[in-house]
Amino acid sequence: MKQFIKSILLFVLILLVFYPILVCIWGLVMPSFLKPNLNYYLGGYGHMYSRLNEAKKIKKVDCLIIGSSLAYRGFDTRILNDSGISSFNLGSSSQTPLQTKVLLKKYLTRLSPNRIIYVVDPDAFTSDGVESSLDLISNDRNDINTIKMAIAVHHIKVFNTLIFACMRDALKLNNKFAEPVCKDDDIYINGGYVEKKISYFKNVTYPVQRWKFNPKQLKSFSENISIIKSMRIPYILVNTPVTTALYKSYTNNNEFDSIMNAYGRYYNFNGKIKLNDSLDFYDEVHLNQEGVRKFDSSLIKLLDSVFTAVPFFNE
Amino acid sequence: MADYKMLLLLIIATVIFYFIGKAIVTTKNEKNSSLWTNAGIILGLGLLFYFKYFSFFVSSIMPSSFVGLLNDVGFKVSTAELHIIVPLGISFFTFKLISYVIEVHRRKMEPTDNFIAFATYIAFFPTIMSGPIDRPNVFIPQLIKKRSFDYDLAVDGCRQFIWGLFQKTVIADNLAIYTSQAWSNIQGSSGGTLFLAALLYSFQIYTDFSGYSDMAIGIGKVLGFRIAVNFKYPFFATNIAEFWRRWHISLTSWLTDYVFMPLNIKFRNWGKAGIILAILINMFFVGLWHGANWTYVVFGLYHGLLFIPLIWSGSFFKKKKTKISPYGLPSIKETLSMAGTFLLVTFGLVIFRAENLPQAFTFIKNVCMFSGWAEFNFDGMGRVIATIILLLVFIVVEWWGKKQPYALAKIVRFKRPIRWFVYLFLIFLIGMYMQTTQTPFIYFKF
Repeated sequence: MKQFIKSILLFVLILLVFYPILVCIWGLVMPSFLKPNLNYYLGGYGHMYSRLNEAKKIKKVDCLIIGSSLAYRGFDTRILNDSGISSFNLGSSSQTPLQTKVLLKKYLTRLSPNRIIYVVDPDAFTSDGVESSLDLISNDRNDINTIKMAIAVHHIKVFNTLIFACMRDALKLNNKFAEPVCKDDDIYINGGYVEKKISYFKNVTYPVQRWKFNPKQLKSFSENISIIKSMRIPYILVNTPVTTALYKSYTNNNEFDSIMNAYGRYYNFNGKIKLNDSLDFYDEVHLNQEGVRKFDSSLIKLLDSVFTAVPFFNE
Repeated sequence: MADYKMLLLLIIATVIFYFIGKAIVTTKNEKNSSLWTNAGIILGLGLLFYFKYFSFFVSSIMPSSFVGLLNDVGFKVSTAELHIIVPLGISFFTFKLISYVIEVHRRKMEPTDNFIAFATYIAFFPTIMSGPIDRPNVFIPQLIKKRSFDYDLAVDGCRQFIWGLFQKTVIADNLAIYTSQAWSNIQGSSGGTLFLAALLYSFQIYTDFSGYSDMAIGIGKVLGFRIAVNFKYPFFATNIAEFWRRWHISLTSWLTDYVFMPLNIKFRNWGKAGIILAILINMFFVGLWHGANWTYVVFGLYHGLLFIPLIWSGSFFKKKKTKISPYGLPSIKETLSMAGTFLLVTFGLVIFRAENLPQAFTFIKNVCMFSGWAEFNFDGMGRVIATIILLLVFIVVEWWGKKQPYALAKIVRFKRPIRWFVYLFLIFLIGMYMQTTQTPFIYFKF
């Protein structure tokens, strides 16, 4: 028995060395269809690489925006800047509270914002967080926070990609990488916003559905709020508008609203501003530039009144 | 279905069969012994019938007028009101229970006094869900005798477990994506897609079930138990009889001993016709064992029919040895026989996989239309190619190790560094290629 346990321990030890080495070699050598569980996309969809690079150079912002693609595609930093709000958009594709936590820990002190707009997308609360973890791991330098996130997400794709990304970080293989400002229909705007070439959404019908929130995400969200509160930064929670047809197809939007209300000042923009499902959106959840303009105008009015209100920490 | 209430059923059945086993030998005369045995068999089959087949029987076999009559007199037997939950692993543990009373009755074993050992045999955790169906006269003595840790057996168990895990997570689960795609869109898929999906499904079900069996046997070995072998490279069989001697062996040997052999003896005066009848009945039960659906019945009978030419030609009784060329490859004749057998099995598995007979018919019809045979419309062809490459590697390893209880066992002839490198590489392949969406074992539903 002793011999067996010894052998197993030795095997595990060798495995811990051998597996990462093989993942790294495989990742460098094989074409993408031969590495299905290693999804390393440097400069992938959503300009995360450019956004994080810019974030590293900024020292102070007035307003920080965090959340999913609804954040970096809905809050145009140019419009906010024109209104006197210097802002930075730290949104990322499918960002869930698990990734928000990593970003807050890494960038909150550096950016030291005066206020935060936390974009709360119900969909992010239902997600396992894999897609966004891969995006974050591929496009930022990895540290203990990303390792903690990978453990929390607990998915083989995330582990493999993290191993590969750490190797690339260590060997500085990404140093010469430059992400193009324009990719397909997307243009990266300084401040983290991504503008999409104007297009319109063709209405579709949806079946009746319900949100099923992931307890892991709710827990992380709660921790994120604690982080923000601990730094005494005023924040608001914003649920950005999606197409009316999609929004109304969910029967438990109230449940989400009540969860969010418990965490602070929460503003659900669905049904609050006049938007057309086809003319103001390019897909079922993302506003096109016309929609962004309308939404951001409403938001600026709100910001003026909300952040001047005293006391802010009434939660 | 996994439901804690069903645990009570398992406990009660185990207690009853424990005492039936004792009653079979303590009773004074042979007649009473047979009565107890028959009671055990009827009870075991009754459990299986009620939980697994009663709804099917009411909805598909019982005349609707009779159902109406029963409902009128107060027996609620409409399928809508039955809501019978099928206990997990019922097809496996009832066969173990029945096997126990028969073996005790046949005096192949003494009924055990050790209730814990008996209950462990029935509910042995690696095998309760999907087998293999161990025989009591082989397994219970292992539970009773004092065991000491066997290093080689435990290492062999770990090796077999890794091999099983590889089969399930890398081969079966990846194939499942493409077979499901084709089966969910039969009308919209080309003939080539459906044909490839049918071939891939054969490998999917094999690696899914063989993978499970290898993992179960592997865990058993680590714990010091030798569990029955369930597969012996069935796709290298050169005819259907050989295929069934290699496929789901613990089930087929169970049915051979308790169904086919008694029937064969009963029909012995009828010559070859008697054997054919016994085979057809046996294969009917093989099919029906899988579940309450006409597809399984037809699957079983189809295989029964495939035995007829073998019985008439006399090759049914011959156990052939595969002739290997100096290069380690089968002869052309044997390769063709293997391919032919594989295609016949694949055809049967189309019926098996279908939700109902019309769906199976549509699938076969669309394949036979020969339209779009060079056209494969799977999502993500790159991934399909990667999966097929892995499948080919798997087949080569299976051929290489075909004389072993499981293919990877042949590696013991190599030195430790090579063996360990192979295990590490297999674990790497699992990590790199395992399917990350949850795919339950196919045989869990049986």
